Amino acid sequence: MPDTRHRFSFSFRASGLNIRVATDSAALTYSLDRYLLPWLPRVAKSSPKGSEVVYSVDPCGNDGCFKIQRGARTIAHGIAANLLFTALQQILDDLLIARLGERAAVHAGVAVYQGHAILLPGSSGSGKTTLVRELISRGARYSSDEFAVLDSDGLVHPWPRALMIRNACQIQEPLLATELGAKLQREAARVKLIVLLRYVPGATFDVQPLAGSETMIKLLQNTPHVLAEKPGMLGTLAAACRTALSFEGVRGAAGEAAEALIGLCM
Amino acid sequence: MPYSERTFSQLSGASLSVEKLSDDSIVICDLLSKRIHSLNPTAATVWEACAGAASEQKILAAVHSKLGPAISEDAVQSALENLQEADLIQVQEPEFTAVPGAVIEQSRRRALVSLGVAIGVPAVITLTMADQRAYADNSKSVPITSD
Repeated sequence: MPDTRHRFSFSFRASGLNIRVATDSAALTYSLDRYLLPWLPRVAKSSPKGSEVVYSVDPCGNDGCFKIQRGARTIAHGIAANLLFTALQQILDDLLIARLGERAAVHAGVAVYQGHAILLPGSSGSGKTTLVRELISRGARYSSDEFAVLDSDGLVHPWPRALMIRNACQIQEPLLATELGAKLQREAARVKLIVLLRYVPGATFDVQPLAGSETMIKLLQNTPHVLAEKPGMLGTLAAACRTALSFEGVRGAAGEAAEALIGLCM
Repeated sequence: MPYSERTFSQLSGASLSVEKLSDDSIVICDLLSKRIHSLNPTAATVWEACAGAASEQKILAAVHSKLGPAISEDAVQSALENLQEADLIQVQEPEFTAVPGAVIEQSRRRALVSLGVAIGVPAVITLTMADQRAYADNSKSVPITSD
């Protein structure tokens, strides 16, 4: 059903869906359009192929909070303004990640250094963005700060969403990698390194090799997919583990860790 | 009858999905028991040696042939115990004798002592599918309140 309630919107096509994001605020629409899944080309809203999914964003109440609706159904409400972008980004990530088909996603920061993909699996808040930012400041190309999308050939595909960077007030704000001067990784890359790092303040970078099978277990603990519903994922993860060197350990300062990762990669 | 004359064989079947990695480690997904097992190269070699009913000597020979003589007999016994606990192999006892518990305990103790040497230490790590689902569900951390 076409959305006629909102004055501003933008659309893109992904995973066979026409997705439209609509609001009543020009400034909000501009900001979301700039930072939301920025690598997907925008299309005219009346794209004839496939069904259209409309996400609308509206204020709810008078406390400055927002609600997000999919069609007529409210899927999130009471969202503070500074969390709105994160919430919408995660909703769309979940939607598209669930429609990857034979590919499988792993929660991981990914940077590509001289053609070699470095995967840094970890849950939200584990420091993936910080490490990826350090890697791209050293010449690596940006692939993702959240998802490694793997295929059965052992390649990782880019998911170059906006990085969430904490500002001086510790509020997370979206920032495009290109705004940091980084180049985007646009093609799939061979996985060279898989490194699971735990941040320990003051620690020196110290890692030990992981067996391929142990790495697979770690990836299964960091994927949003349920293996019982996606059994083919096992072969996909194995393909990445076959080509990669795997390590697990601790890190302190992100800069030192980035230097060490590049050293391991070369 | 000595402990070594028992034979070991894989518990295989259509429910097992096996992925072998380039370092010779193996991941086994058992759809029946809903568990995923990670076998490091030593444990994987022992498991592969159990493809037909094999004695401990035969398994040890296969391990030495593939991984070299540094792998101790205790490490192989430890791997066999780990694989039994994971229901990945079964043991056939000779009919006319029982395995002396003291021998097993002695072997386990020797194996624990040998764990100080990293090379050849077998490791079987198991993740249940229920735990895997929980990890996946937890990763969807959208702060959403649905109507």
